Amino acid sequence: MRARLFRVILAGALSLAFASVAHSSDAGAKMDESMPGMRAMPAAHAIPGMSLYNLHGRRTTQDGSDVPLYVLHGKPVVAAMVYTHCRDVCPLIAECMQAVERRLPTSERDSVQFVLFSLDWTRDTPQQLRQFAQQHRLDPRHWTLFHGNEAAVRELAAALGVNFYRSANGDYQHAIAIYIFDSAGVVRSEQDDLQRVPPWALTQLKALPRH
Amino acid sequence: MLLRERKLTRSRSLICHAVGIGLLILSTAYAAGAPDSRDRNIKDPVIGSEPGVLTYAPDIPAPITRNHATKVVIHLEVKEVESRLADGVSYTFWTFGGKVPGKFIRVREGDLVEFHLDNHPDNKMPHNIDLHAVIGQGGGAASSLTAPGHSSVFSFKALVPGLYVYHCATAPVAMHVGNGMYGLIYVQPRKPLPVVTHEYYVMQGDFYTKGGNGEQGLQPFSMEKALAEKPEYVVFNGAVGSLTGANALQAKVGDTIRLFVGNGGPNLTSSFHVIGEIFDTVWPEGNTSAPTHNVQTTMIPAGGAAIVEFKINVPGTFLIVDHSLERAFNRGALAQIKATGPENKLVYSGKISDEIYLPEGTGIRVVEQPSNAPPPAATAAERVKLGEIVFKTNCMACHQENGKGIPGSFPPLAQSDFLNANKTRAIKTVIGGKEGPLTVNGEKYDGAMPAWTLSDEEIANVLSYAYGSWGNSGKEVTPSDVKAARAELPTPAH
Amino acid sequence: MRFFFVLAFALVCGGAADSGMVRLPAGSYTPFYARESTRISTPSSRTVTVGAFALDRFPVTNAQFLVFVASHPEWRKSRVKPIFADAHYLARWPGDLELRDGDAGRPVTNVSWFAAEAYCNAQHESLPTTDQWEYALADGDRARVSLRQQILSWYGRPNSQDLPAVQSATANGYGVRGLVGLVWEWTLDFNSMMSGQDLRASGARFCGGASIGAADASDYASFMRHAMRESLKAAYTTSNLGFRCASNSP
Repeated sequence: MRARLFRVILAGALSLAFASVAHSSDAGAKMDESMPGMRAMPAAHAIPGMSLYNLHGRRTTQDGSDVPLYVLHGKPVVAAMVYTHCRDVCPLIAECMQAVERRLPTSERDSVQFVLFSLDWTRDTPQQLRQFAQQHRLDPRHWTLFHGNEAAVRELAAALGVNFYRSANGDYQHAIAIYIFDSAGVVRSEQDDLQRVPPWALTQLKALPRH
Repeated sequence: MLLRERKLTRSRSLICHAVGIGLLILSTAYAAGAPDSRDRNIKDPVIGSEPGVLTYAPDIPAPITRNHATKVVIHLEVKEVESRLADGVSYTFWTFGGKVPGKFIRVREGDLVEFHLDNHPDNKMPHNIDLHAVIGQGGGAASSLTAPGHSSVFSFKALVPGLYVYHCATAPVAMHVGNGMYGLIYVQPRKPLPVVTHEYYVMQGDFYTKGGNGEQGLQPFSMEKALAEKPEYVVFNGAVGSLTGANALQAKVGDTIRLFVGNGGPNLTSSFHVIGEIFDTVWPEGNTSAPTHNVQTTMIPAGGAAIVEFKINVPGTFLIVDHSLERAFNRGALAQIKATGPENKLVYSGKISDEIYLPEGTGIRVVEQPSNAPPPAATAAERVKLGEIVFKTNCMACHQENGKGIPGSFPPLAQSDFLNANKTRAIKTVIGGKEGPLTVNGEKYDGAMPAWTLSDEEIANVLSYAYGSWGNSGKEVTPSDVKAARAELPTPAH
Repeated sequence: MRFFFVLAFALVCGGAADSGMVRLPAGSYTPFYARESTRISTPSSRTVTVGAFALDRFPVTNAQFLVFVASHPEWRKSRVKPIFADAHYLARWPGDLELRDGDAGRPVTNVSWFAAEAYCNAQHESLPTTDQWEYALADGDRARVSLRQQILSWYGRPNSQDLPAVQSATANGYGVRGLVGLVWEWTLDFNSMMSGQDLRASGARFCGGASIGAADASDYASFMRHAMRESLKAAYTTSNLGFRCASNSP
């Protein structure tokens, strides 16, 4: 853990030095203005170009922490976009992901993160998300639920390719898919057939490079 | 004792019959590519991989000789291009491969096709593809909606042999297809069709332009005409004259020609016919297991295809048409096969003689012989008037009412240098016909004009009409001019 | 040196072209595809109300976009992250901060949804929603037939020609210019087309399926617009796709 932090800081320092020698630019370590007090994010070019952790929208977890997506880096992620007022398919999605969690060998369970991103920027407050997590008995050691503001939700849905429509009464129609990102935040696979999720996810997670 | 023997015999005979009939049914089903051929092709192992060979019309990739299924990788690029629809008329075509029709794809039964649909970055539109050879959602269309600058990849196994249309299926489909987005894919059967001399690719399509037929310049698509199914152009291979004159298909006496014909539509069905030929074999609707024989005209539905085959016995120019004739002669659904080689007078003699015809009993009634022919013209003006009728009856179909002919096919008479330069030659052309290369007003033609069995009076009248119309020289042609010209024949008219 | 000249030019002319936004009054229109459900809806329930909003008079030009990337280096061609824009991003620009001759006043193209939204956000605005954009296009139904014909003619125009300058675009009844005839335009929720029961929209709207549920099956122009939106992903860029911004604040 400390080794990783050291590596991050070193990378940041090196690139800052490099950047100041080269051009006046923002290639150096960058404080995200929307999240005061957070530790510096690594140099922009340390995050792969296709990583979702390049997204900087404003997000809050079910615990009320304002965090960048980058907090997820380091471990692979199984994720979906849902909303808690969804009656039909979203609970199913959560269950599918729990099935994956259960089927992981105990030794590996701690090294995978399960994430739900809410599509509902008005109603899915952190408190609402916490309630949902409790209702569905989502293990807080492995599960993170994110609230985002409208811009953050649109940004993530756009990046994942989740088509969605928010109707006048606040309900959503949305594409159904579960995604697997690697530890650097790059989407490796997606699955829209819920029945196939557990075996698919296990295969995909096994195939990810270990670090 | 005897009774039991007889019973045994009968039951054995029943069994034999049953087995025999069963075998017959199975073998027919097998030969006809019944559903069990799908299963067979699903299971057929895929060995190796090769890039697909695609060709522009009228060419077709060579027959496939391998006897196993393989993986074929195909790249087909969508390009929106402005090019010629008819002389002086251009159109923004949306194409598979840069031309209309799209490139011809040839694979074998059981092949696994890896299909890349590439949408050129300069294009405005998203496009996709539905191949009728594909069994699966949308024929591939569901998996291939592609924005400009992007490429979609999907794969399918060719489960059923036959000749299939492919086309873009992005809404509004009638417009995408109406702009030329169609082509053919041939899934060669395991037991291929016999080798022939030439295989050619011909595809019919209807086009809907804002301006009328012949109106010059870049023509936009007309949604109103498309909705009303009233095309301005009906053409083979994407343009008027694409297969006429210098572009005609070539053949020799003795050749067997096989045409792979598609109809992209979007709306019209084709009544496909080759003037002067009979199809020895037709594989109707693109199937390859149940041919019919000795067919004059075969229907090709929109979004359908047919394979036709015929032998060339005599030389000549054989016209490929949609036998809904307005389309052939007024909208461009006309192509040519030029066959050269020795004559065979037994099969077709050409004109043997030209005789006077007197109805029966004329010898007695010769003085009061009823005549339907109009009285001979008394003045030059009258001659022109009578000539107009002859023209409309005989000449107008090709040379058109305005005398302008059809570019690429039938030369104009209006202000024609050929006509105005030599009156005698003109007379001889009407009498004796004309074949072979010809330049009129700087344009090249290479067609066939028949010899006309008309009286001296009629020829004089019609030529006087021609000379007296459309800004021509105004010469008068008299019956004695015609008689004199006849006397000079059979020297070929030049 | 050339950069500074272009930048100065852009600041001056970009500013001039930005003769700002047009206010559109609240109103309603009939969307091409009803979105609420798959059941057959009565004509009146198909209409959508749109609140008053402001919309850019013109699509954003290359000059204006140049000013933006000058001050937002992460959006420069050489630096943009592939997750935010594909390999054709700003393909026409010879360099990070260079424009081709004549391009200053032309609509910017080869920009992704992310880039367009970032630009609008930098102006404290955002991309118009699809409803807002379509409402502006519908122009109160003032000239439906000629609008359709205009759109179809634009589709038929060959792509080899350079885009015209935005100033050449004619205004519709609201004073908005160039919604037709210049470029396709990004909307905030371009990815909101759901095809009823089948919630995976991508690719489902092909062939006959698309004409089911359309408000007017003879409106080929609208089919094309929706097909275009459906084929796009947020990082895509094309040479015929640009954008303009909208503002909801009074």
